[in-house]
Amino acid sequence: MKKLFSLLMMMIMVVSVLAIPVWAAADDPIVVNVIPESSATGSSAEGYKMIQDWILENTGVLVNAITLDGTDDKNQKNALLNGTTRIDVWWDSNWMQYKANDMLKNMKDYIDLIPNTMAYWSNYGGLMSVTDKDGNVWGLPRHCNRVFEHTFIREDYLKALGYTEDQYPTTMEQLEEYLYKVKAAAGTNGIPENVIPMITRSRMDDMEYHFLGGYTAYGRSNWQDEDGLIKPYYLQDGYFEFLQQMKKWRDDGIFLQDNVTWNTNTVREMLASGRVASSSAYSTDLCNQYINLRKNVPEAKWWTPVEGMTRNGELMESQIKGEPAAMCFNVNTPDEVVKAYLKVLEFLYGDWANNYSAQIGLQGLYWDYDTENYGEEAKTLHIVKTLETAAEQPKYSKDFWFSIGLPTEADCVMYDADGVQNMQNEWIRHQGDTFSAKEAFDSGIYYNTVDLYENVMLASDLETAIKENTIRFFMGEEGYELTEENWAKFIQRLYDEFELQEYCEELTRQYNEAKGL
Amino acid sequence: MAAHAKKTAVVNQKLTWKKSLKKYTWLYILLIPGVLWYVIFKYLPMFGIVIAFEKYGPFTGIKGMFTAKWVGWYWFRRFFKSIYAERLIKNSLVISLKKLVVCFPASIILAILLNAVPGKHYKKSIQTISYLPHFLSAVVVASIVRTITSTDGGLINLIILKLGGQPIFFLGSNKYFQGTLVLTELWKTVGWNSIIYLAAMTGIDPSLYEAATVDGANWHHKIWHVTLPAIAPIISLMLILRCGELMNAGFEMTFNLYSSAVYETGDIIDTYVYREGLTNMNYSYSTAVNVFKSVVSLVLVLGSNFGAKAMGQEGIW
Repeated sequence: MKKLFSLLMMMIMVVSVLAIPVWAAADDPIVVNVIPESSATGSSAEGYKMIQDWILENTGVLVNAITLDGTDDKNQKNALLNGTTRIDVWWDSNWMQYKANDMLKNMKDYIDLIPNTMAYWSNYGGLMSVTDKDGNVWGLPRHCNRVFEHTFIREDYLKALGYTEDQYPTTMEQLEEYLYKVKAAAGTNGIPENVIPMITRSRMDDMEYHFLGGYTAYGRSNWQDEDGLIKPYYLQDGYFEFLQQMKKWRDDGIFLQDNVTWNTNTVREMLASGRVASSSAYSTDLCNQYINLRKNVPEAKWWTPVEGMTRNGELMESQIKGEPAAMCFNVNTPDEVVKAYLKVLEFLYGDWANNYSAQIGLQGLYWDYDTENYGEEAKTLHIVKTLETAAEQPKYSKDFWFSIGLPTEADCVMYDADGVQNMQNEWIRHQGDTFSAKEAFDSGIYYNTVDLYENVMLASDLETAIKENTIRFFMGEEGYELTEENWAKFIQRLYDEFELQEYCEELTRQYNEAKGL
Repeated sequence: MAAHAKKTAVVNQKLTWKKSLKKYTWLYILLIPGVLWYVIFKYLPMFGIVIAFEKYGPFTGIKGMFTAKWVGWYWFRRFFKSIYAERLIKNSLVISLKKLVVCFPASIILAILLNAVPGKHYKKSIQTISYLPHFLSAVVVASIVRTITSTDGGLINLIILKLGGQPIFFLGSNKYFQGTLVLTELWKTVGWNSIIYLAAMTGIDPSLYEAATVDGANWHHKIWHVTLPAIAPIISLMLILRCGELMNAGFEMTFNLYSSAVYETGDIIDTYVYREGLTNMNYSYSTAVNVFKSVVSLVLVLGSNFGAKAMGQEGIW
C-alpha cells in the first residue's frame, strides 16, 4: 500500500511539472515588470486592476507597476533590481550608473517603434540626454532644461496684509519685506499663530536654485573661470553672500530650525497644512498638495511671478539643467518584452488622453472634456475637467503613469472637480518658460558621473563634504560660524583634502570633450 | 606502548561517536534543517566577500563573481584614503560604547528592581509596559522622537521654554544627536533586554537568600553578594556578545533620525555602506567596508572572550 501511494505521489509530481509549460503557453499575455517614477499612493486594488486591465485590453500586455513609497526610492529600487524578480523597466535620474554596470539595453534600434511618443519630445531636446557620444541610446528621456523652483507666495496672505496686485513681491527686497511682515502678523489677519514664513527642502539645493542667481553670475551652475577650468557653483563670487542671507533668514525664524531635518513627505505635509506663507521647495511639492491645501484652507491660493524674481536686476532662479534621467530597460529583458512595453508606451504617451487616463482614471468615469465651458473646442484644445466620483468607485492614483511624459502632460489643460486648474499641470505648462530663470553655463553637457568618480577617487567625499558643511554654515554651528575667514578656510580644505582641483580638472576634461575642444 | 594507547583512544572515540549517532539518531535528524539553514544562509553567502576584491557589476549575479576584474586591496585603500573613514569608525565605536555604558547596566538594574518588586500584578504591569517599545518599528520610534524633540511645539522644547530655557534642536545639532540616539535606544530596549537577567534570577536557589537573611544581610547586601554573583556568568556572556557588536551602532535608528546636518556625529559605517552600496551602487566598495567592520568585530569578540576568561568568568568558547 505504501509503495502504491509513493508511486502515485511521484506520478502526480511528474505530470504537474510537465504540465506547467503547456498551461503557461496557452495565450498568456506578455508580462512586463516596471518601476515608474511616480511614488503613487492611494489606489485601491480595484483601481489598480481597472487601469491594468484597460492597458491589457488595448495592447495585449500585462504591466505590473511596482510603485515605491517615495521616502527612499533609489535604495528601494536598487534593492529590487538585485532581487530575484526581473525588473524589465525602471526610472532613474542617472542612467550612467546602470550603464557602467552593464545593466542597460541599447534602445537605439527600438526608438522607431514609438514615433508618436518621440514626436512629443522633439521640442524638448529629444533623445540628447540619453544618448552617448557613439550614438547609443540608453533609455527613454525624462528631463530637459526646466524651471521648477519658482518662489511661491500665498496670495490670500498678501491680500490679508494689504498688498494690491501691483505691489506683489517681484524682487528679493520685496520678498524679504513680505516674509518679515507675515512673521510679525502671525496670529492676526487670518494668518495662523504658527505660520512658517518660508519652507524649503532639507538640503541647500533648493535654496540655491531659488536664490543663488541673484548673488552670482551663473546661479546654480558650473562655470568657467579665467584659468579655463570648469568649477562648481559654490566657487563663484557671491556664494558667501547668498549663504549669509539664507542664514539670516534662519536666525530670524523665516525658515524654521527643524526644516533642515524634514524629508520630502514632511515638507509636503506642511505645505498642505495651510501654515506655510511662501515656498522655496521644489514646485511639485507644492503643486501636488494644492488640492489638499484647499481642503484644509479653502481660501488658500498660491501666486508666483511668472516672469521670475530678481535681485539687483539679475534673475534669482536657476534653470534645472536637463539630467541624464531615463526610463531604463534591463539588458536581460527579452526582445519581445521590450517591444511589448514600447507598445504600451506608445498607447499611453503617444496620445495625451490615454496618458491622462493613466494618471487619474478612465475617461467618462474620472475625467472628460470640458465642453460645458469651452464647447467642442475643448477636444482640440485638450481642456479637461475632473469628474466627481461616487463613493463606491475604485480609487486610482498614477500607478501606471510612468516617467517619460513631461511633454505629454504639458499638452493639456486640466481642471479639477471644483473647476480649479490642476496646479501641477499648470506649472508643467510653464516649465518651458526658461526665460524666467538663469540657464546653466554648461547646459547640454551631460557629465559622466561614473568616469568622474573613477578618475577622482574622493569625488564622492567631496560632494558629501559640500552637502554636509554648507548646511552647517547655514545653521552657524560651532566651528562653522559664517565668517569670510571660515568660508575661505573651508574652500581651501576642499582643495587640500578632497581633491577639488582634480575634480575641476575632470569636469573640464569632460566639458572640452563634449564641446569637441 | 604510547602508540597503542593513542590507537585505543582513537578507536574508543570513533565508537563513542557512532554510539552517540545510533543513540540519538532522531535528534541528529532534527538538527539537519538547522545545520542546513546555517550552511545555506550563513556560510555559503560568505563567498560573496570575494567581491570586495573585485570590480563587481550588480547585474552579473553569481557568475559575475567569477568573471569580475580582480582589483586586490583597491577598495580598502580607497576607504582608508577617504577623509571620512576615521570619522565613520569613531562614530560607530563612540555611539556603541555610549549605548553599552548606558543601556547595558540599565537593563540589569531594571531586572534587579523588577525582581525585588513584591506585588505580582504590579510587577507584571511594569514588565509589560517596559517591553512595549521593543515591538515598535524604528520608523515609528523615529517619528515619536522627531515629534517630541521638535523645536516647533515639541513636548521637550515646550518644557524647556516653560523653564525659561531656549529651544534645543536635538536632531539637527551635533552636540545633542548622539545623546538623543542613546536615550532613544535606552527607552526602546531596556525592558526587553532585562528579560534574560530576570530569567537568570529565577534560577537562583532561594535558600541562598534565606541564609543571607539569617546572616543579617539587608536587601542591597543580598543584591551585591547573592544576585549579582549568581547572574555574573550571564552578564559576562551578554557583555562578550555585546562587545562583538561594538561596530554595529544601530543602523535602523540612526538611519531614521540622522540628516546631513549631523553627519559629523551621526554618520556610521552602516549608513555609509548603505549609501555607497545601494544609492551609488558601489557594491564592491561597500562590501570591502563591511568586511573591514566584520574583521574588527571578530577581533573584539575574541578579545572580550579572552578577557572574560582571564578574569575567571565563563567565555563563549
